[in-house]
Amino acid sequence: MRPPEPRDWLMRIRTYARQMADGDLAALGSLFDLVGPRLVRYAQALLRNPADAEDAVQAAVVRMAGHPESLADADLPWAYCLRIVRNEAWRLMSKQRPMAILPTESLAAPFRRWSVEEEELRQQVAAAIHRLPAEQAEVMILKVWESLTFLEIAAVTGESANTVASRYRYAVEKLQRSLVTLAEETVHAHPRT
Amino acid sequence: MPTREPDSRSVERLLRATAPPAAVTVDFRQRVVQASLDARLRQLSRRQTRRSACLGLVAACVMLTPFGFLVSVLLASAQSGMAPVEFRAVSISESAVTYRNSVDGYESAVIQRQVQTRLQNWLAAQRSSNQ
Repeated sequence: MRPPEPRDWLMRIRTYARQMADGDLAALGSLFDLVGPRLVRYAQALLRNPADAEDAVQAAVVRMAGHPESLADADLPWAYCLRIVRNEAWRLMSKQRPMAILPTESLAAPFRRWSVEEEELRQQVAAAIHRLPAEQAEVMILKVWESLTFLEIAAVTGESANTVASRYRYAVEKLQRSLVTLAEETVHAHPRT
Repeated sequence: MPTREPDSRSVERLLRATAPPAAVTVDFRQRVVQASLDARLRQLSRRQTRRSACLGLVAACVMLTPFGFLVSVLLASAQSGMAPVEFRAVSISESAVTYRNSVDGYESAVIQRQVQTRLQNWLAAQRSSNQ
């Protein structure tokens, strides 16, 4: 999935949040359509369980709906959304089990049928990411899937940008070693445009 | 077997290509939006209640000051159609009760009638004593 243009994306989040703060409750549906699916994907990566991910996102969206002005005024509104989901995910995990990052199976399975080759590739990549330390895997997900900058990732995780950058570098190094064959095949299959 | 490691951009492209799609079911969307709307409405309702309570408290505090009392007498007299001088004859408690009731939106016709009856009796007594 091609990530949306950052400026337009952030502006729309702010606009919907501002409309909600001004009493336009219909903007809530638009806001959810904009950020909900990606929040669920992120929550699934954190919680490894679709039902728990939906619970975390629901709690997060309810929280955002309660204080839309905070979202509208946030310097990094998308990072703010992810941070709330992260907090809710942590809250759930603290009740259930220690933090475990990334699924190796059944992630968003109902929404897309993968071919056998795609599924095999996806499983191998997911397994490689799963072998990373949890904090490195999270940084990798936010950087690659959500196209966040290190500064934005730092706002989500509460770490410094330097720490985030280091984690990303370590994660890339480890993935380079574990995915060497897969990456080469993908480069040949999807040459840079 | 490749002889060199892929660069970080190759790894990023691979991860992006195998990223799970971001999607939610219609049921889930409906559930979340409904729950959020309910929460928002509850919050707005609570905020409105708090605001009303604060206004009531401020009005009560203002009424307890001399200036507030004067204002309340003027308001109540204007509301009852009587001159302030005449209205002063009515007991303080009755005028305060009338004003408080009018502020709260629960103005009592019974109290108004009692006030007017007492006032008329007082005026009649004044007239008879002048004669």
